[in-house]
Amino acid sequence: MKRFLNILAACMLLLAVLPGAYAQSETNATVVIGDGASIPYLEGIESRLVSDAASIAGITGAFPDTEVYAVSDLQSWTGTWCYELENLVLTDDVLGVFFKQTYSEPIPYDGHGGYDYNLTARIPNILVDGENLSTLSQFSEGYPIDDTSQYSFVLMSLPQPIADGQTLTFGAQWNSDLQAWEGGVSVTVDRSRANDPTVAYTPSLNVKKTMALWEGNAAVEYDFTVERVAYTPFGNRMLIRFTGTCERNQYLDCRLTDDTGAMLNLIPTMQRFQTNASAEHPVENLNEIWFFGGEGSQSLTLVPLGGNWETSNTSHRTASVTLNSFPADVTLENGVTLRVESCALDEGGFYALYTTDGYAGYVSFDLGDAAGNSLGLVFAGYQLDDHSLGLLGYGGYWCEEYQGNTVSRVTPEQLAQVKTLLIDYTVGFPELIEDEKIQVDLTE
Amino acid sequence: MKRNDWETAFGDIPGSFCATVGAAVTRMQRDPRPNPHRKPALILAAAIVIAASTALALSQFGVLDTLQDTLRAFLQPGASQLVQTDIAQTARQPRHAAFTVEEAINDGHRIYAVIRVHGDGDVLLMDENAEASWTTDWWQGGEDADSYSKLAYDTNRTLVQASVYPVDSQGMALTTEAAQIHYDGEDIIYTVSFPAQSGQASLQLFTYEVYADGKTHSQRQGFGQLDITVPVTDARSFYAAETPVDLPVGNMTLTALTVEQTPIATYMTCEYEAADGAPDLTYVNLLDGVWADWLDENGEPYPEGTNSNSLTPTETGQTRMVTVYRAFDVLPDTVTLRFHNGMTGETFDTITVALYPITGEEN
Repeated sequence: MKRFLNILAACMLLLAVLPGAYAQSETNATVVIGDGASIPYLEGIESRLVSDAASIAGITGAFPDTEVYAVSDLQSWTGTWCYELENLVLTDDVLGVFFKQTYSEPIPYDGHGGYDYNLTARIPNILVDGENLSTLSQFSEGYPIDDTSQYSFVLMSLPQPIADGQTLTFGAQWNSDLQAWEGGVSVTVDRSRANDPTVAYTPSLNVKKTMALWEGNAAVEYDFTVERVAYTPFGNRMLIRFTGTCERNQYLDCRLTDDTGAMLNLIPTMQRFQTNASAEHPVENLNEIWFFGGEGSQSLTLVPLGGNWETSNTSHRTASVTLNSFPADVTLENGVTLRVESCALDEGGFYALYTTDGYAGYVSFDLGDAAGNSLGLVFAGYQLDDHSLGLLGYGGYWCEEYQGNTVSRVTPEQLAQVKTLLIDYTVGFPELIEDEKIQVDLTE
Repeated sequence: MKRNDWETAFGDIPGSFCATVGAAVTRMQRDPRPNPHRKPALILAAAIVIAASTALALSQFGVLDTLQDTLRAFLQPGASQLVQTDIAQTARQPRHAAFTVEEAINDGHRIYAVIRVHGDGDVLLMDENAEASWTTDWWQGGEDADSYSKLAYDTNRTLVQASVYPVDSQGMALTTEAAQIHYDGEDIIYTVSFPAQSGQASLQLFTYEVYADGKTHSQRQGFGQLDITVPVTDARSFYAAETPVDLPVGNMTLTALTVEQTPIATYMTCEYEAADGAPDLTYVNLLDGVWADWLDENGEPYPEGTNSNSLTPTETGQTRMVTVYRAFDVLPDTVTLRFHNGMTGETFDTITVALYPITGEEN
């Protein structure tokens, strides 16, 4: 993991220093945000990221006839993608692209069922006025059209807004000899007609405090500013700017409550840090928290997580619900109610949607027999939330593709034994460190 | 069967990716980190401790002393005779630092080398694992020294991270043992281990100025190369097992097993493939990565002597696994292997095969 984080940091560094010069791209049309154009992607499907087209009508605009060609960014894929850009989503918080992507040969899905389409949804690289687009979090989904193409939607959160009149370039390639970007297609953004339903606050709350959250670790001095809280059509975000002097004070692992004390459900996002931060060379580092709920709350409260890792091994608990009775409420050991809204199960895997009304620690799911005992099925688990419904999601797949055949690790006999959904959760670890909670006022 | 390990192996999975990183962040928070904050009252004491430990360490930077514990604890009597100190080497040094191979062993399977990195007078070196806010004594468990950043700042020096990467004759990076890191004063002492392709080896040298100070990324980089000659030792013995051996649970066949014993380590090479008529799931398992643990008389896996065991396809489509273990006083007459899918953890066959000696030519 150390190596992974180093690579991640190196990638971020590389993106930060790539020169901005780029070759003029071929076209320069305009996308008018709020143009009222239809969104073909949303016709006939239930999107996991968009509740309905009307909810985003004021923040989308149709691309002109725009095709972008790019080689595959997957090492094992040798073909070429054609991206047909259809609609752009743009607010101060997010940039999203609805597009059709077509491969030069049948798309080599990995056999993971519907989850494959989410994995395959990939947007070509984007420049803003010739500079690499900087993003924080990314959410994606897709669904198939035929064996060589699929509809995709990629939504990215922004560290700073893209202004009216700025130019977006899709699919440009970096020419290392010329030290310049080449090709791609460009569009100018017209935000003058936008009607953004986002409700945003800029609390600009600066927090400077020293917290000892994890036993055995030294206290960490935090210096951060809660810059923005935005209730967007795609979920809600809190943007925090950290002044980092080491790797550990550039993010805050925490939970959120509203002004009634209700715990909000958090959408997992990647937290970033820079490894060259020090007291002598502090760095500015943006991180964000995505969450569901809290609309209308007068304040939000950050409750840091901490505790003693030594207790983690004894913190795991399991509860179960039968698969034929949804929604189902499960009272966990700490009194929190976890509601399983649904659980889809087929020959390729399962996918459960749920919420909690309190802090349930780390939650994952498994499949069990009628007595609630794990069947020990071998599957790959993943978190995939439903932004349109405001629900957390957890799924697992047990299939892979081999020479065109879908190979399952779970036999039909094993599948027939599946009667319960098992909820793995933790009690007392990590702990909510209530003494260190931080209230963010949203009244002004 | 839990699946989180398997999950992480599937590459770019947005949801699980976030969850994985989130978990990593949590793990980082509980992992003790060097304290970036100096305790002024302890400065003198820390300086004395560092000086004392450095003096002690100076006598311990030989290649045998800096091997991973699992190898060092079982070195055989002939090991010290394999150490070469007058290493033929030619270097194109990167900016800011000079890299020198001080000791090396080539036991035919791997090269183990101690590399000293000495900084120019206007730089402070930082090893490849460190971060700017870490204390300079982190590598020996300390946390009271100045951070690299502060020491460089106070002494008005450029902070430079120095790394070394073995490469093959085509310049491709070799699978490298995680470097053992020590310091001798402000010199970095790396002990690296990598596959021996012959008596020749090349190391790519890399320096990077940690802070930009107005420079571009490329202006902060420094590149070099160090070519070394380390003749192969003759102190090797070879063994093999009768094959093929059926692996019915995993629907595979063990087609070759050889063991190479040196005074430094024991190397096992296994080759296996899907059995005739094996289902597609067997091929999927092999693509995932099927490994074999060498079990001791209690049924427990022998500790591995490296973090860089390899699994590669052969030209004939088999899977070749090369693993490194401790050296043995007397190599066991039999080898017990337990095969498993490295991603899912699913276990397959456990077999015991007898070893017989072979010549180096037969290997």
